[in-house]
Amino acid sequence: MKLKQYIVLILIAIVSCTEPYELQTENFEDLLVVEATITNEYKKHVVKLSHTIPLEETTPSIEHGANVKIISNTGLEFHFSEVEDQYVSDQEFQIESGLDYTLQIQTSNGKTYISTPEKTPTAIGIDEVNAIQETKDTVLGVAIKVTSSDPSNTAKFYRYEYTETYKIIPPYWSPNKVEVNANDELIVSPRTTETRVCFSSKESNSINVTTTEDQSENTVFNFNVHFLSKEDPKITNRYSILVKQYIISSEAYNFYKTLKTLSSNGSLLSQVQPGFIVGNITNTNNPEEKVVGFFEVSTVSEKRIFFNFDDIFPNETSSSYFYDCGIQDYTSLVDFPSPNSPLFGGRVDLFYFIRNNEIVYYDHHPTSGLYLMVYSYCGDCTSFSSNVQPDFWQ
Amino acid sequence: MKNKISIYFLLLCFHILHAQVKEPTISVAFSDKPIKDCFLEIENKCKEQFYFDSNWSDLNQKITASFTNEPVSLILNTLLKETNLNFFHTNNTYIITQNNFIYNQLNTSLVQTDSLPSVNQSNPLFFEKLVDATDEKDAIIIIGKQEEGNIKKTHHIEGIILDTKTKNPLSGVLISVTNRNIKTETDIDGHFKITLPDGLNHLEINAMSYKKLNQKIILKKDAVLNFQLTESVTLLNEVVIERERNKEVKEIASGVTSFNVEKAKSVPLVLGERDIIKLALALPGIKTAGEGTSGINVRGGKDDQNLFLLDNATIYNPSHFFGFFSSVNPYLVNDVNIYKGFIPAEFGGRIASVFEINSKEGNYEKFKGEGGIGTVTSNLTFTTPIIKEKASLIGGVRATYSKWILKQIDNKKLNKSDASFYDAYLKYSHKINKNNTLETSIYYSKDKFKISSDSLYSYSNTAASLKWRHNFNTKNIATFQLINSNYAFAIDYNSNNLKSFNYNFNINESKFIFKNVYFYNEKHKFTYGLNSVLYLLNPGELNPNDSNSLLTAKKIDQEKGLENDLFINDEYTLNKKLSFNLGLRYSTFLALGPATQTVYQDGAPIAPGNVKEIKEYNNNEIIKNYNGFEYRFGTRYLLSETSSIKLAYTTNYQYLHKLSSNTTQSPTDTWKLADLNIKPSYGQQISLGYFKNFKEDLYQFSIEGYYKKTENFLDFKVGSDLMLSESIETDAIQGKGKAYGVEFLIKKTEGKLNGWIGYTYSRSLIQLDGDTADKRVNNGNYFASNFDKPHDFNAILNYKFTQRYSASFNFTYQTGRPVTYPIGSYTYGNAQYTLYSDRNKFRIPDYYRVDVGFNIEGNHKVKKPFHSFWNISIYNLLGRNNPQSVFFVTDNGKIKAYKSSIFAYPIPTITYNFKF
Repeated sequence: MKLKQYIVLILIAIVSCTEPYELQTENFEDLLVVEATITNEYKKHVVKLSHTIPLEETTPSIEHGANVKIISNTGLEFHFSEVEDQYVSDQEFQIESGLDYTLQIQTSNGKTYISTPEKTPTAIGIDEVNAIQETKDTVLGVAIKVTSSDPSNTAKFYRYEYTETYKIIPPYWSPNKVEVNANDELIVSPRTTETRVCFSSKESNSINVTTTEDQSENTVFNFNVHFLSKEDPKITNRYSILVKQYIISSEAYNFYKTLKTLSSNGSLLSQVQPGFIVGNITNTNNPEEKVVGFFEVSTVSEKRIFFNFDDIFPNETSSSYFYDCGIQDYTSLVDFPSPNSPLFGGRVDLFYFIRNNEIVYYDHHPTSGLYLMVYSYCGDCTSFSSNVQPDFWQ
Repeated sequence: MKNKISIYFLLLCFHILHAQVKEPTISVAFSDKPIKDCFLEIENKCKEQFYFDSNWSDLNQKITASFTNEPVSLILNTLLKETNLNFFHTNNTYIITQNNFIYNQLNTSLVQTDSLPSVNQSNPLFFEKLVDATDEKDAIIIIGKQEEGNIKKTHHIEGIILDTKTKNPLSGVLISVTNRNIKTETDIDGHFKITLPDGLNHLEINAMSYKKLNQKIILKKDAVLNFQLTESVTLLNEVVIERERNKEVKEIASGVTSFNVEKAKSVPLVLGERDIIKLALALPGIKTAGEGTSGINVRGGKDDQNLFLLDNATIYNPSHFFGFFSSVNPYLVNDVNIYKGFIPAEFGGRIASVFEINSKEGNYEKFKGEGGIGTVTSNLTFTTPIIKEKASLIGGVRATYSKWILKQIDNKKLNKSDASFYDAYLKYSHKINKNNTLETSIYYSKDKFKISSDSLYSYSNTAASLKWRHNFNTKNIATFQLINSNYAFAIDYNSNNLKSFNYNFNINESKFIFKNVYFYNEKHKFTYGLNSVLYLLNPGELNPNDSNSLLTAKKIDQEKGLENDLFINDEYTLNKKLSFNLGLRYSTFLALGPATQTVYQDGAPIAPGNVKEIKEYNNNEIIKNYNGFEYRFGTRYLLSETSSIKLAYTTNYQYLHKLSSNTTQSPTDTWKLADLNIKPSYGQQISLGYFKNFKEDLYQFSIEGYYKKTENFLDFKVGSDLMLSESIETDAIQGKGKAYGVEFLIKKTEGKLNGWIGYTYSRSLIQLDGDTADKRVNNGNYFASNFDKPHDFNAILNYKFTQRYSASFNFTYQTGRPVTYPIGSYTYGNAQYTLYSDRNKFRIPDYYRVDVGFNIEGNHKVKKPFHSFWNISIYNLLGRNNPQSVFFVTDNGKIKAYKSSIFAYPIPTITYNFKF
């Protein structure tokens, strides 16, 4: 895939002179975008409805006031209500094998949309998730790989999502903090809250699908779900990834694969045939109306793994961090500099930055007594992460 | 003798009379004198002219004899008794003839010996006449004898016109009866048929670069007459194009355009080359996919639906340097026939058109050459006899140094880039004897381009051919030909050791052609034969260049297919006004193993999820057999001598598809043979045309309309990625197409100002309505194809200031082609995606361009060692920035649109052409 893109780039390059071209925004089409996945997890499921937006805009346009429900071929109905820009099912439910589900939407302007009935796929568990040292495109790192097998030979299309959670320890943490009191004095005192160890989580946002159809054995073997470079700060300390495996239909697989092909071709889109990607939702009164999105009915299984940096790279440590950190010297009140000094204004800055929590105390200079300060993200992990250890953490 | 032309008349089953039988009597004595000299002496004495070829060996026989007041015919009889020579007396002229060939089916009972005193009754009647081409005092040939009861008012003459030297048939030779305004011309096999009224007819036989021949004939019976024409040797200004009169009107097939290369001379062309394929693009119905792309769309057909034949060898990529040049050296091309409507039954395999490119014939007499030196390309062609009058060689090479072009293209990325091409052609022709000619040729073209220092792209066409032409008799001319042609491209990428690779594709076809042309009678001319093609296709192979490469080698299995076609075509003349071209072609294709094919469940769509089994096929095991009849029907009705209507219906199968998901053809597009899951394409076209010539052909007007339906051409679903794909069928959509249009053409053929203006209104619509949602494009409705350009206007005008200075002007306008635009964006699965419009809903801006050219000829001295002319052309005079494509790039999450154009400002070129 890479190869092809490269070639096209070159072909275009050699023969042409390229210049920016005014996008004709009057071509904009306002279409309904439906993002709906229901699974065999017993929970409140979520349907997201929005609208396409013009190319030059970035704020999503949410569809409000719609009537959303999912019905099964056995007559089960699940109603959804609007909660904070998305539609959440009124009750908890899970899909059952052998049933078909249909999504029905009535938008605020009265149009009705319906999906094709989607079958409940076979549920397949993940056999294992492994973190393996690997070199990918000359970059050394760790690959997260999934192995899954389907003895029933019915599941052929897989989609993966993951949530990664990682421990964060700021490189310039100090057990003490400095504060400005009411009398404009700097007070150094021990920290009272956890600011050294934090945990952040991030959800995948790329499409990851695979199929076993072209294989003789119906096995997903060491499929690459994620790759982190050795320098990635997420793995500096302890790292955990929860891999979710969705068994999807072939239509859903095609939809995601096409979406991925069109979008991953980031540098140049002209070679891959662009076009509208047809999903499985139509306007009941006007079948020609284009609706973006796919109503996915899938079975899900998940597996979590943990690893430390030296599990993957034995006897090595990593000092990668999310930000560039450095220590800055600040004079104390006592050493208020003269207006001619290059350090003039340091006091004002110091107070200002401390009050705004932009810098935090790291240490005192052992000889000069200057305050050694660091940016807060280098000394206090709560400035960008959470100090609450997740329940699953071990 | 040099300046004399020889004509052979073959007279079968008819009589010859003297026009004037007044015989002079003379007295003369020879002693040991060559016959040749005897003739001269007689000539002196009787004041009559003798025509003969002094090269005949018989003329060197020595004679000792004396005559007193004897008629010349008696003297000649005596002189020629021991020779193969005969004579014929007419119009104060003695024509000495040599009985040298062929005909043994003479109906002797009809030969009246009294009227042919010197002709041996058992010999074929055969006359050779040597006259000066400009001699106005021509002999009159009287064929047949007025007989009682022979009340036919008109008679037919039929025959073949051959080149004196090569004995090859000459096509497109104009035979006109100057005193009656009757015209015809020879077909591709040199055959002609003309109907003449009783009485005196002034026949004029006229072929480009051959000497004009005038002959007066009194015809009283149907006759077969074969002529031989001698190549014109006065090459003062070689472009004396005597037009083939009313050809457009009389041609039976509609939608056929023939180009002789000399015509292309005065057209301003890209980068200094005169190129007939480029010239063809200025005709109605033929369009390029875009500037700088090699694709050609004929009457709304896809760019893979055109068959390019160089002397019958398939050329898969007919262009150099992204379509700026055609890959066949224009100096080697004799003529091009473009079949965009009616396609003769002998051709097949592509559904939209056939470009039949015929190379020049070598010179059997002397060494000659031609060349051009230009700012972009240079080329040299030569021809030389190997065995005088028996064997000749013609060859040519062409190369470019296109650094110059790349500098013209305003792109900083190109500093390290390089592009070049060359091509070479060599043909050897050998006349074994009068009935057998052997011809062998090789052709090679290569393009290379380099964009950065680490990547090299190349592609090449190769063709080798062996052809044997055999005349079984006067009525049957057969051709046997073996051809191998190959197209390959490769990418060599060496960016760093770990990612370096090379990628290869090639398609090879081995073809056998047998064709026989049978002149059954004056009403029927049959062409029949068979065509076998073995295709071997390597869809792609990727190999890492370095042992440490991160890439893994990948190879898609070879595809094999065998196409066999039987064809028969009858050119049937019902009467003077109504003629038919009736063709039938039975075409079969076998997809052959070894192969691995995916079998999908019966009745289920071809899609992932419906795989039934993966089937292995052994070598030469038949995977799938496709076959069917192709119908070729053409008819012409003459409304008057200068106007006609023509109707044609053509159907075609095509067994291979080009895989290109983008809108413009690129040299890295691969091909795919029909197999278990990919069906062959099928096309049908009906066309109707009206043709009218005015003012003795000075103006020609035509209007042609067509409607075309295609099935199972290959298109691709959104997001298809075709490179190294093992299951093309899951991405492919076999669509339906319909195209229609009306084409207007007005030509002024001669005069100081000449040229043509063409306009086409046409539509090309396709329907992609597969059986799964993702294979339904635009809801399965018909929509504009990538090459739907409704309005197309072309004007090509030449103006000759003097014999030496001429200018040409070329204007092109066409509607911008359809594109798929991004029309918005949306959020899905935590990420931002681009929303695209319906396929081809929008259009890029219209295209127009003006080119001009000036030709400055050298002086016109006949005796110059070589002739030369300068050509100065300016391409895109107005500097119009024509977008070639519009594309979109996601840059930091924002979508940006770019348009790329090839030459956004005028490009001047200078070429020096010479001939020796």
